[in-house]
Amino acid sequence: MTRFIARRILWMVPVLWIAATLVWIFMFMIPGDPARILSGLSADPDVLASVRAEWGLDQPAPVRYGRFLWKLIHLDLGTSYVQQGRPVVEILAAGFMRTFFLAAAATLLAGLGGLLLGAIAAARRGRFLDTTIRTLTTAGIALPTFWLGLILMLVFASRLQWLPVSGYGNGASILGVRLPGLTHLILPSLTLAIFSASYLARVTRASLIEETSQEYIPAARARGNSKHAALIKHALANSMLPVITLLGLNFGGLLGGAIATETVFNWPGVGLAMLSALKSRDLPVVEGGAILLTAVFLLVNLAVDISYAMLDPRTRG
Amino acid sequence: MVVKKTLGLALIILGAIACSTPGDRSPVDVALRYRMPAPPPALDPIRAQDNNSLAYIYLLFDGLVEFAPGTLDVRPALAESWDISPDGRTYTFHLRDGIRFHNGRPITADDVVYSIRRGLSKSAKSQKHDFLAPLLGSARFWNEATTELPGIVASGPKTVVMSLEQPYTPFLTVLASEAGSIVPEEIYSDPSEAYLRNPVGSGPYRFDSREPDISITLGRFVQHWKKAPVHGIDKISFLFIRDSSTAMEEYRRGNIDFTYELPPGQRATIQKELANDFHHNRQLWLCSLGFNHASGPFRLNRTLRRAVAHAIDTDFIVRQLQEGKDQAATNVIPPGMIGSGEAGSPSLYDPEEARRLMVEAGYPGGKGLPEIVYLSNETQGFVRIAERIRTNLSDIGIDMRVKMMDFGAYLHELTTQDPAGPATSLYRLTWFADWPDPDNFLGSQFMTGGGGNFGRYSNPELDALMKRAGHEIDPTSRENLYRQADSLLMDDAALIPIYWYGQDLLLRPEYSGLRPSPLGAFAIAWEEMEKSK
Repeated sequence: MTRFIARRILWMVPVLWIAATLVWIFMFMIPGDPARILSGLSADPDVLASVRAEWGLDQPAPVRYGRFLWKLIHLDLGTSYVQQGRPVVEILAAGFMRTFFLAAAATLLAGLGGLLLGAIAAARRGRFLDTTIRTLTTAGIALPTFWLGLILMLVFASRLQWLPVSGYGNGASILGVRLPGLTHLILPSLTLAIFSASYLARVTRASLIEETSQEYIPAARARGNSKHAALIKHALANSMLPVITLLGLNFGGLLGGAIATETVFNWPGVGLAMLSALKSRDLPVVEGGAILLTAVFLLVNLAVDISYAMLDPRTRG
Repeated sequence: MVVKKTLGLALIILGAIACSTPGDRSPVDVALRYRMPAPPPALDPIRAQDNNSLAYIYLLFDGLVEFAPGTLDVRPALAESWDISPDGRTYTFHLRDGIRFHNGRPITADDVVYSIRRGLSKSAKSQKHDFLAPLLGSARFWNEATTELPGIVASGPKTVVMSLEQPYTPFLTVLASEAGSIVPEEIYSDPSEAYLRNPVGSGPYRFDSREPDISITLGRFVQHWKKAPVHGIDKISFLFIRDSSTAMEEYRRGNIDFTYELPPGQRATIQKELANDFHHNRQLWLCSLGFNHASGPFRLNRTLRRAVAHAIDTDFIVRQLQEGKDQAATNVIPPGMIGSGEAGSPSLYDPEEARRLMVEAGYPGGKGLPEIVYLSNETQGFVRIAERIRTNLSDIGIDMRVKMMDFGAYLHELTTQDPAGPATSLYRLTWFADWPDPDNFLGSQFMTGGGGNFGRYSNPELDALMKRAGHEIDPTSRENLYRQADSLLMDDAALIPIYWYGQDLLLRPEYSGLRPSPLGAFAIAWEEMEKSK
């Protein structure tokens, strides 16, 4: 297992380099001069020139790329062009932690909801409850997140006034990291969880149905297990592989920033930070963010693969 | 074991989240909660280039003079009085007694000299040197050819003398802008630039705290020379809410006290629903269509430009697309700025006249005219305007291709297009003056080589008029010269003015004394307002 993990971690280095290079090339190619955006429409040519020189934007592409890589190797992501004086690491770390809490809550809700609904639908296959769950989960997958978020906000925050409209809230601090307010967390995490839970419920249902048709289920029943015990103890455990993969990938995807949800609920996460940075061509934040998110996604994937390998040693390769 | 530890940590985090009390150390406690769409890029007066940053700058920093609330009149601030020499080239300012920075240190004439020199310093990364360019010796100082700046001298601890290269009537207006902000040298000479995070000025509010990406709070500076009203606003908390629909819901729930930029499509409803909170004022901003004067079909073809001007239904754009917030523009200088034309003049829209001019220009029914390329940034409202203009031009036989881009790409396209290449023929532009004077408003956009002259318009007659007006001391003559400049631009169809911006504001009725500024929401004098209950 240790060799398996070490090999996977080593593989991350070239992947990260490729990701960093691609992002650098894209940012180099897209039109838009950060100095001009920051300095305004009627910026003086002298001012523009000095801003470009300060950021090294007046250098040829190979020099800029070389400097970018050199700083990256030294784990120096620089300071933001737009939020002047603020280190990129600080911007990304703050945003990432806030997104992490949102993604974790959404994944927890999606995992519980998806498994429960999927198991119920499989147990009641072909009956009214199954049809209802399948219809609702189809709707859950089809509804656009931005629209769903707005509707939830208008109903539960604006109309019923049960929950806050938006924002991060004021939670306690642990080791200098401020946690979100519980009530503030509910609507955005629910918005994200509805899609994932719906998808997960369908996968769980299909997986369970497949497992229940396997020969070991009648064997388990023959050993005296009830129908539900056979379903939960044996079929559910064996159908976990695709479910765990899906949950892991979903969590990794959400950590990349749920931009629509973060925008609607004004959740100051990493997605919102990256979007603003992209609009204003804040190159250090975009580049640093892309590298961070690639690394996070790879790590989450690794965690999924490890859990896979633990559940099924044949997959260790 | 690992599972147990992970579960334990998860339980601790969940517990901490569950035990948290929403609002316990929230900006909700402060007197005024001000919605901002984004955090400010720069809290340094010589670097701030956006209206978000200026909202803080105007409260944190004082200059020698300031704009009287709701007007463009200049009145005393740190300087209690000043004298102007008869030739209009020497300004002598007399500082007030008892003025201090937020760090408690008294302000002297040397601080004024330091701050103005800093505004003309490349090493301080100043973006305001064009504001201070009228000062004697400013060009050589800016270009670092000399360390001497004869244009400003402290002639005593409380007296500052500024000398100009030539008379420049709007000079006091320049000093009332952010470029005239006074800062303490001991803070602003710090090479680590800690002042970007903790700005220190002498304005009516001081920097209190910042929660990154969430809020910034300013507190009343009790030693400020301006006496606070009895029920004045003690604190202002700027809450960052990006989406205007979300901000509107927060306002409805009572979680914010002030917002602008209402969500699109809701103006009439909000105006009715929140009649006591709703305020509206005119701004010195212009939305216009610029022509490419350097290449393409509009170059040296005034008749074709006039045809396009007569084809566009600006009234429809203002009434239907802008929901009545703005005012159809019939000339260039906005009402309220000196030299502006008569408000309420008839619109130029006349499709019959436009068709006749197309024939006169040599393109009857659009025949023979190459495709017109229209450039705009892709904000929702501007997309609708582009569609309307395409329809209007199609009515007179002109085919128009719309090129909508995000703001960064749009700026790039606007500023780097090759005059000899397949350039943009028409571009949409929002323009506002860096300082509220036609010298800045028209000069940058239309004088030969001006920094905002993206269409490369060049008219020696206009250049001469602008130069004369810039140095004219007599106010009436100056105003007449700018009127002539405005008429000249309209006669030449140098651009098509679409609308002058209006601004909608929502402020809770318990706050009194609001005088919206024509400069924008950033220039509201919150320190002079009161909360009644």
